[in-house]
Amino acid sequence: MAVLELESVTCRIIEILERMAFVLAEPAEESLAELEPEWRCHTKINYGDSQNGGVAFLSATDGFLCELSSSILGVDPEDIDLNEHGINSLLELANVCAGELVILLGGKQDYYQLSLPEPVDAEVPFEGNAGSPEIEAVVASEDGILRVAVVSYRAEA
Amino acid sequence: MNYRILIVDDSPLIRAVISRAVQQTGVSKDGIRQAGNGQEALDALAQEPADLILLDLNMPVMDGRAFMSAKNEDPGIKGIGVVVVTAEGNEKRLNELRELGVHGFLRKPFEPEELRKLVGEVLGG
Repeated sequence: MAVLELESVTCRIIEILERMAFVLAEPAEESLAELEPEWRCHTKINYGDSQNGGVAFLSATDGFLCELSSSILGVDPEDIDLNEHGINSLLELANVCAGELVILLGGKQDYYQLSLPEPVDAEVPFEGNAGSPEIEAVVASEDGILRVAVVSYRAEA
Repeated sequence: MNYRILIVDDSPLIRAVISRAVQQTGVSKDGIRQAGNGQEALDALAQEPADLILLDLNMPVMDGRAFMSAKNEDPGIKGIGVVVVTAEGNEKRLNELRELGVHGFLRKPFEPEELRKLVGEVLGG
């Protein structure tokens, strides 16, 4: 299993957003502490098995979710219901991001199982028992912020 | 075109995106049905067959691989073409699906034109 690097993960996330929804984003220039984003919702997805793998957590603001959902669905932003479309968009984004993470980790030959993405109530990596994220990629689109945090675990050699 | 397409994906958002792209190939909206997992897809096919199935892999209740195995057990639906639309890119797993009779793969995230082209190839070929 390869080690994830912030630059490559951030790059993949930006590529996914552009390809999936024509959402243009770039690495956030300010830290999360400076940005103080108000997250609308969070999702998580597990990859790997009990020995090697990790969890990816995604958090997004209203503006980002509205931009993402309206682009995916091809409707005006004012027609977006963030409680329905927003979470569905973030769940699908988690699925696609995890698919890319496992390619970064193991190429196309080593297989890591993906779980189903699921909504979570809070920013789990910072709540104590899940540990600090190995990677924390923060990207800014025109209207909002997306954070992708990855917590990995590996079997002892 | 009077093709019957079954879209199988647990994300209503992605079903809507795929449905829109399929309609742009000329398939009428009435010819497109949707299912949220493999079991729902089997139930839908028991009522009415389809000309093409667009199948996600990672789904609750019955995933795409289990669906393919079940489909192959049923002579009535075994011959229906399947295109897998998935976030997964593992070659070994995709080869296993080829052996189960999958006709094509489209990796998420995809551009609508890629889907339109693949659907056209499978239906036309």
